[in-house]
Amino acid sequence: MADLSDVIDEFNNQSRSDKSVQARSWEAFRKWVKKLFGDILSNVVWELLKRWWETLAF
Amino acid sequence: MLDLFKKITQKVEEVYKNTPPAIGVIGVSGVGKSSTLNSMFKTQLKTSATIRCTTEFSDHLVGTTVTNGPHEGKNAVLRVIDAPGLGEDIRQDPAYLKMYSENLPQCDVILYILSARNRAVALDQQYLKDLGEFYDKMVFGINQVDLVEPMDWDFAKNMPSENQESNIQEILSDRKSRIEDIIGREIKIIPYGAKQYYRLSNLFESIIDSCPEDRLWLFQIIKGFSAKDWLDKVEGISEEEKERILKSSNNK
Repeated sequence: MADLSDVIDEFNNQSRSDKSVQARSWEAFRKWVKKLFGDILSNVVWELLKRWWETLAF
Repeated sequence: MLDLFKKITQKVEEVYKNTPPAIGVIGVSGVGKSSTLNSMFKTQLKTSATIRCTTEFSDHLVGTTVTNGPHEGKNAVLRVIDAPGLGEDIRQDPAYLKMYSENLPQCDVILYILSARNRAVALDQQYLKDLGEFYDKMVFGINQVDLVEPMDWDFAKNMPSENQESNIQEILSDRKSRIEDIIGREIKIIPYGAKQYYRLSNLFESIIDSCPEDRLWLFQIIKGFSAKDWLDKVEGISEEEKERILKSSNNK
């Protein structure tokens, strides 16, 4: 029987990397959009864009 | 506002279609270059344990399948500069190295793969000396950690055994110092196992670290694995436990 705590630790370690990459990718995407279109989006539109982005990033 | 939203999404599609993320994968023969790409991006590159599969320097667009979200099942594109393995035949190496120099400038990131099974790194050191102009965008990974002595990978946990882990750390420290001696700067090498999906996320994080910022977001789109793939290979716990671990992670 596997020691569950080891499995959970490793899973969390890998998940943390996934989440950190996703957060950095989003920030990079934000900067790219701002560079192209200017800093004119409202918070609501950023939120919509983020949701759309999350469906793209898989 | 909707018009702007539409313009942004059109631009994303245009950039993605015209200049998809490009990754160069290099290393001596047999280290698992194609296997790494297959696990990381859900591509279907040909692999073989016994014969050389990638015999020409190929710059091609490969399809990867979206594995979740509303685009599930659709194909995405990755530009792969897949290199033939160096070191198989000394007569071929000069021509290969010339091709490396011609093709690698087009890559966003270059993944240099070593194998944890190979003790000799003289060939790697030699090739790295010839590829000095690309050091800045190079990322290093040591594949096949599941095959490190005493070869008793813990399939129940899908992790190295204690003895393996200790050997992996030794290998890591040895290869790191020997490569740093050649390229003259501190590097990070990620130990991973492509076939076990072990620490692929750490390797991907390292790729993102070296990617030009304005191209970084494109890589996230074609990423084809998650920590769940690693968990799926754990054999020693029930499906219910796996579900529970996944759920608790999503809630964090």
